[in-house]
Amino acid sequence: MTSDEVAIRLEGVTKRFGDFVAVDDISLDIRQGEFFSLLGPSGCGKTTTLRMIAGFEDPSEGSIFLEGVDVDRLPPYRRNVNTVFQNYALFPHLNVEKNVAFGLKRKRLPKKEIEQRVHEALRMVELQERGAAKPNELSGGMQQRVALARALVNLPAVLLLDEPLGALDLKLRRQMQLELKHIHEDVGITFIYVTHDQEEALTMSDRIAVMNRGRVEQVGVPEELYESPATRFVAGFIGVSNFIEGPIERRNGGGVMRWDEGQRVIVGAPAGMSLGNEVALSVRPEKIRLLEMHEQAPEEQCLLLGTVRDVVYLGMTTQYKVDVPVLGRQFTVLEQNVKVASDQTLWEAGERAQLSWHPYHNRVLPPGGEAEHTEEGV
Amino acid sequence: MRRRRDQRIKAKGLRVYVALVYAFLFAPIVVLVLFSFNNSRRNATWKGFTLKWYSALFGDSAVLDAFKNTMKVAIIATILATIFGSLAAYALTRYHFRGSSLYNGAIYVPLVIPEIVFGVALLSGFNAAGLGLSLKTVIISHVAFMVSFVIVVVRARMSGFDRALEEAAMDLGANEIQTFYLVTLPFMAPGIMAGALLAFVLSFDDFVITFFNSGVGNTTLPLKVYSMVKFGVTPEINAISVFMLGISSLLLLLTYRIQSGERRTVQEPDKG
Repeated sequence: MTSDEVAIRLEGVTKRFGDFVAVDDISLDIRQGEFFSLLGPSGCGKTTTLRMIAGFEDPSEGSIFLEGVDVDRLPPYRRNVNTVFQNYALFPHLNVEKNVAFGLKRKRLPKKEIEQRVHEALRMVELQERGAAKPNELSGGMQQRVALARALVNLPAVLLLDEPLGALDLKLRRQMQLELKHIHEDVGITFIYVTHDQEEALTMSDRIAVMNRGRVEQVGVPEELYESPATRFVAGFIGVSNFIEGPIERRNGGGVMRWDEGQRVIVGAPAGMSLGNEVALSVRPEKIRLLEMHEQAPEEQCLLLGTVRDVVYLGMTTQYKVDVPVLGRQFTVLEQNVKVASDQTLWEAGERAQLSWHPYHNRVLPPGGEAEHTEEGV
Repeated sequence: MRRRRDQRIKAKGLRVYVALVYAFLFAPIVVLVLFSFNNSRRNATWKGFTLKWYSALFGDSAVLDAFKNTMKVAIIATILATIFGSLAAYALTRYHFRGSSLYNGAIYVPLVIPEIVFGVALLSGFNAAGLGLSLKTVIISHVAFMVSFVIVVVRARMSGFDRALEEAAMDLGANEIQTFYLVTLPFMAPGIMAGALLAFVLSFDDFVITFFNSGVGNTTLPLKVYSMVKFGVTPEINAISVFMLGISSLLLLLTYRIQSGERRTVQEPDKG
């Protein structure tokens, strides 16, 4: 990536509030025109990071470069970025048109041009009829669009969005996600999007930085984060993961964990893994098959024995919770509801089953690391 | 049947009761207004309609001087108290500094302290400072108690202020001063207007504090009324009172209009 393709560069950015480290030594390159999300649970530092880019907070350490220029000393009104605030922050005493025109007027543009650009921006968010309305006369979704138009009309180098859909109901949120995505494609401006909703981030983003406790755990495209989580936190925060820990022994070219009754988890040969040590793995629920006890799983497949505890029929899929005694854990297994044979039925709670999957789906996680993330209010 | 009759009696009783309460509250005022138009020196019997007391009033140079003094004091004191009070309310809601909660509580002292104590305290203060009593000391005294009222009203308005509005303004290219004038001040404006009107009414009809701090020859309208009443309630006094009543009511009505309008425009931020 050459430097002129980078819209925003963070270099070792740290933010402390007293003793509390809100953002801990973050370095990121965000590309020109990219839809980039900062994803993490509340209190992970994502909003603070956004506020430092906007200029509302000063980094305690490190630097922020906007299009190659160090903006550390610049107040918000001298930075070529605009923000869509969480609660929109529309000016209550100004009508929609004047709200949208606010930024252009500060730039002292000719009146004609302001009028024209405001009109275009309102057309983009389909509010050209409501220019004379006051913000409190509009619905939440409409206010959200006004906030978007008010920021985008200035054609900033980067648009910052702080959980802009958080206040909307689910249906409207889905619709706005798609609209935001389309608008992003139309205007070609770099978007930095803060959210705690992993589904939203996966739907909309070109790339995502997963944050936890002030640090960036992993940066990648959505598929990368889901298929190859780099840390235990990412594996647990993005989607659902099953975790496996145990000592590993040598097996031609790789390693294997073994238990009695032929139970085994085969691991490739990840670089730097020393055999005999404890290893932590994760595997996604939809990669695992449930087999009847009499079926024979191929030798090269991973195999664990368990008892079905919970069956949740979800239409397209069925989700099983399966106790795995050798690990002392409960696994989540997701099966497609395709009847392979006419007499095939769903598994029932209490049935014994073999869990089987290809070793290719195992992801080795760095030792130690975060405790699993448990989903909270998502 | 019986129950319905009982209810009818109850409803009637309530109506009589309410009428009595209103009569108690407003009858003296109505009488006052009526007799200001009475063609007789005595406030006893109705002798026909006249406007002569009003024309006598506007021909009385002592009354006119008192009115001028009252207006001068009220206008200057209102401007000063509104500026100080609004700035104080802004600081108290916007910043937390050492002792800010003490300040927030101390604001109520001039509101609850007996007016006569406040008046005497100011008087001894002026004496200690070697300030001779004049209209200036009246203005200072009025500002001293009006500031609290302005703060309370403006602070109530500011408590609904979302700081993100200021950030949004800066984000859109407004510097600190522009942000204050374009966003913060317009938000505060209804509160400032209401506070100013309330302060004006309070100053306009203040008697006790003015009485202690005006000195000789600086009569305001309420003081003038008091000195005239010493020789009995005359129709001129009725006329002055009606005049003052009119101004006060008008301003209070205006305050009420502004505040009820403000409630409608306050934006409820939805929490996400």
